[in-house]
Amino acid sequence: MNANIIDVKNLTKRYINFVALNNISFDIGRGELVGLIGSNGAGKSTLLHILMGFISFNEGNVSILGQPLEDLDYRTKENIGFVPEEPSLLPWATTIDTAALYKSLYPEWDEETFQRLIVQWEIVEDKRTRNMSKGQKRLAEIALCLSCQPELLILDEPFVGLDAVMRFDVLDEMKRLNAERETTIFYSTHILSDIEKIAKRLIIIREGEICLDKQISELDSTVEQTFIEHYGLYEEETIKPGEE
Amino acid sequence: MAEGENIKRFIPLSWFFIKTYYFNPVNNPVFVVLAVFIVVFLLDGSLDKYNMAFIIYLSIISHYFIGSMFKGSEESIEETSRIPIARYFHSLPLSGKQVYHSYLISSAIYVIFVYIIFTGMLIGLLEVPDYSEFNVYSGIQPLKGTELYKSVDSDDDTVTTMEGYVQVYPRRGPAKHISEVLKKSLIFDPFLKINKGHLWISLYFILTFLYISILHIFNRIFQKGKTFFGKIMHKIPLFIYLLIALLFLAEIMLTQSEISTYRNIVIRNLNLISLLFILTVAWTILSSIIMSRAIVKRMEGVS
Repeated sequence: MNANIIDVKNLTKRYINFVALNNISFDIGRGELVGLIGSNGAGKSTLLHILMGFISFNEGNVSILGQPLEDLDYRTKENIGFVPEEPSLLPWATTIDTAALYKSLYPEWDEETFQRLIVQWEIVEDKRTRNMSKGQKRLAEIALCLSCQPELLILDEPFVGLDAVMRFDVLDEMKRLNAERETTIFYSTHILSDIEKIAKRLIIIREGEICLDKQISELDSTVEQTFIEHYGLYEEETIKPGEE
Repeated sequence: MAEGENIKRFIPLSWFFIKTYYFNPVNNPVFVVLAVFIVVFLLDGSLDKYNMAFIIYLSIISHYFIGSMFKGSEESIEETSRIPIARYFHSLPLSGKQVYHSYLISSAIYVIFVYIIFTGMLIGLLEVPDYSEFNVYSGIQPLKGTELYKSVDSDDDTVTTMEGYVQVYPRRGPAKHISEVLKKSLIFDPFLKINKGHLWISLYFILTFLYISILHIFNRIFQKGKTFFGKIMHKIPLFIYLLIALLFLAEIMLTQSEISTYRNIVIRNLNLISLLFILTVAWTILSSIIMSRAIVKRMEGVS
């Protein structure tokens, strides 16, 4: 049995007009806290959606919690939590209704954590999702996901719509879950400082390829500098007039 | 998966749909309005023709609210498997089959509930004696009409109600058995006794249902719901229903205006009412199957 929580080998995903992921390979072990960064359209969401089984892929092998993705049963899914980029909670249900459903679906559901986060993040639990603000929807989704106490937590841009205070709060909760339960966390973000705050490992993805996969402690510079270097963001400025 | 484990997941999800969607006053106001009407009717013993038309209209458009349940599923992007609601259920520890069955069961429970409400209402209306000739109003509970008939004295027209006051009305013979009323009024009768006018309306309905079904399938497959054409096409059924409701209201008002009793209005229109209800139920079931299958298809067809 594979010891890695996530195991991706030679993964390729092609759309009609372009290649979203080009032969990427990486693995994530138990208890790792990994940040994924890249520009818009670099392939971050595609990668996370493939890991969740939302979209198919063309080539390669993907295993989650030791099971090939195509054989993933819901016993395994009980141990996977996912927060999508766009709020996905059912619009007609309240947070408390959804929590009641989750309680019966996730054996590790922690009511104490849920109640604590509801109070801490001031989530109106009897309000329908459709009537919530974007930030509230986001927090409700994260609170529900964290309360499931999954072994693997995948978050796709979890901080969109959150103010700085809430972002730090969510990051702290992620860190706590990782420390207390050895939860493996793999999250993508555009906010580079959010990577530095809790992640122990950084993956940079560019044009569907992994251009850096390193422990944060092993980086020569800050996350921001590393990102700039790998994206060549200042190259254009150095090009002299007349040069191609 | 073990059967016990299956039920453990299936029941909470069905309950979730029932509680949060079907029997929820915000998400499905039709159910509440119908329930209020039937309660008012039972307490008061009467409905005017406008109330009746309104109930019928609401029952017709009920599917529209049910259909809105999966509106989120139309927000597709480049890959059908990324439809938000399918993605959401896919991320939960549930199989597509469990979601599908739970949705159908909860939908069926809702339909049965509405069916009971309608049946109760129709039986009540059929069983209430005609007081109009005597201009006497009573507080008799319509559904207890059979009990009242049983206690009519054979020599006169006097009956003592449970509340202890005397009510006078003409005898009309024994009441029909409930099952007989159900059988006659709601299942077979409409098809046997339907008149030409009603037949045209029914055909119109059937064609509309087919149109909507095809439209839904078309949208789910080709993802055209977001286009201008798709939006216009979606509005047409609602417009048709409004038109039919108005026509039906006009028909009641024009043809039944000389009749003073509500009971007779209902009896005269029973065939149409029953048929409309059957068609509404049929549509609810059909749309449930179409939508849930579409969701499950996206849930399961990705890995």
